Amino acid sequence: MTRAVDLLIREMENMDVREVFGIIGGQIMPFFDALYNSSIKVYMFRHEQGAIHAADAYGRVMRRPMTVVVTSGPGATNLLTGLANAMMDSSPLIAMTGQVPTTFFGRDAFQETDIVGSSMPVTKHTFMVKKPEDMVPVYRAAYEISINGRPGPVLIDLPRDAQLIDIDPGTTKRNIRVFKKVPPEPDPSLIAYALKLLLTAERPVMLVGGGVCWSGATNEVLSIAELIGMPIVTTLLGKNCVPYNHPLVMGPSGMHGRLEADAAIINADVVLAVGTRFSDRTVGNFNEFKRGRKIIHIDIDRSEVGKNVKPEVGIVGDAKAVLSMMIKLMPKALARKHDAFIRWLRGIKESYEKYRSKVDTDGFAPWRVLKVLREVMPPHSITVTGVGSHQMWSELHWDVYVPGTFITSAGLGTMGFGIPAALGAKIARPDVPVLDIDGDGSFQMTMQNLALVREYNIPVIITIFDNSTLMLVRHWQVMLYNKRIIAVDFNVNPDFMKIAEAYGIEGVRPGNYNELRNVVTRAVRDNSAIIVDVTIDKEKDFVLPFVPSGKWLEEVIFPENFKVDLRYPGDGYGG
Amino acid sequence: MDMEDDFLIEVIMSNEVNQFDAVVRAMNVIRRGKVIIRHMSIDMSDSVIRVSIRARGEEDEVRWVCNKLDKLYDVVNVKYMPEEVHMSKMVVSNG
Repeated sequence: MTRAVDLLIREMENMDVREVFGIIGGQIMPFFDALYNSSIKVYMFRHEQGAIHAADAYGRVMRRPMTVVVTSGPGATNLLTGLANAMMDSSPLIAMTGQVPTTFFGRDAFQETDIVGSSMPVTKHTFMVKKPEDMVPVYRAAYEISINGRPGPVLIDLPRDAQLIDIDPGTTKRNIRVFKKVPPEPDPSLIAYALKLLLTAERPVMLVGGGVCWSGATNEVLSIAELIGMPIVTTLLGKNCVPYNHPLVMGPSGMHGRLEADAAIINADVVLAVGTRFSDRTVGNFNEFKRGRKIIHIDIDRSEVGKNVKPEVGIVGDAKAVLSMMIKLMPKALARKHDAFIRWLRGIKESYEKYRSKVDTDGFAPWRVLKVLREVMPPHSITVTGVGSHQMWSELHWDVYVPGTFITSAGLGTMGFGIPAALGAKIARPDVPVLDIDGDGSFQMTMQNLALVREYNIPVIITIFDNSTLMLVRHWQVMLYNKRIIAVDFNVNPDFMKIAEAYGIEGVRPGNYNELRNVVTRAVRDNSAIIVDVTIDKEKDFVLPFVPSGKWLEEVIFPENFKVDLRYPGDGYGG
Repeated sequence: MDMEDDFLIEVIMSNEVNQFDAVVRAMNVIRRGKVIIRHMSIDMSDSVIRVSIRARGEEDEVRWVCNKLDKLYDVVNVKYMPEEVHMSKMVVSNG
């Protein structure tokens, strides 16, 4: 006879779980006790939210779930934001929470909370393990569910008595029956119809979402775009799925998207959308988006098809499988019909880049900081972001060269995601440089987790775009609330150099771009941790272009002294 | 705008770890749907749970609810049909 929790650890070792993230507490002590002589390493975070964001990033990098282990009550409720974040961005992870013994259930015992009930709306699945012999089968099921189809977070609640009961190891062999959601085989008739629409379109455009990464369909996306000569536009998560230096990739469209990407959507008559839920941030106004456009929507999640945008053709299936079939059915010799359109789109990109390079750059300009960082960070390095204006500047100006290397909180927009995400990514891939592009607001929400940098030797590079304000909200107050600035400016911020010093990390506040380039180059070369505090003037930090919420892409607000016509003049425009 | 109609939704679920969690999970989905629930009955026996719902709403919204239910890992089968139509018309099924 063995404690259930010892059998769980043995099973996790057998499943090649090498690390867990978390924080210990009363009701999860048996689990940690069982780790005492195990090969599984514990990364002890300083707040549960940090642990779960780190697990989220680890899952996105490794494409398998990290397990986060915390105690009951506040330990468990501190996970909720991270669960919602992972759910929105389809990231696999397993959260294990300690729970008061079953005899105390419902008696408002110390640190009792109904975490299963609380977390149901923000998880893919939950388990409450009341029988100790269920513990191992439930873990196996949770692992499988987290990566089945569209990935997501799964929570397991472990009452303390169930962890401690001795059971016969033979009783854990059974499997929990879960009704796995197997994506249907692509329907050839729908694919043929979709192809017909694409091949007869005047200006087809592909919209790539995060599902392309999970499906591993980057090559198929590029092949189809090349065969048809079709521009590729992305969502914020889709930015991670295609290389920006590909000539057909126009970047992300939407609220803080690239003008050439917005122009591609505005002028499209057919949109092939792959692995996206059509966020309002990407298309702006759903009614305008649908007007005059035929939408082909491919998604593994049936509930996404027709949810926000009703497509002409909805194909439920794995993106890679559907696109592969589409390629097979494609005529072999195709005339490239859309070169003039693509040249026109690239002309918009060039005009915008030229404009940016000429703008007065007293002090640090966020977009230019990103250019400098991109020059010195190797193409295969992993970049994560916090949430705020720095994230939107990154959406506009951070070039992703290697798919899978850009991690951001897109759906939930969780400030504080950056530091723990960087830690999780670096733990997943210690051989790869990891850069966190952060803001001073976002940084302060989870900065206590910097303690892990020295404790476990996790050398990440953190740049703070330090404008001493909650810039995106300030931006909205200026543009949409008649400049009534309230509750955004940090009049007294901590000295981030002293914060760095307190955590034993080198801190640098560069005075110019060369100094910035040099310190980050050195950190990459030496694989050393550094916090770089880049002072940004909040009066100049408006992320433009900007499509106000609910507006159509054509209603974009351009940067000062810059304007282009986003309506395509036709193939005879002379481009 | 689509017409609102009355629909019957039938859900079969199974959860061998905690039966009632399956029901609560399904209710969490249904309460977010843009449909009006006119009647609901839940029959639980052994590990099989049968939920019958009469809902009023646009068909797209009813389909959304069913598609969301169909994603749940304790859901074995979901189907919906206009109330006046014979049960043989199966519109969504994971069976």
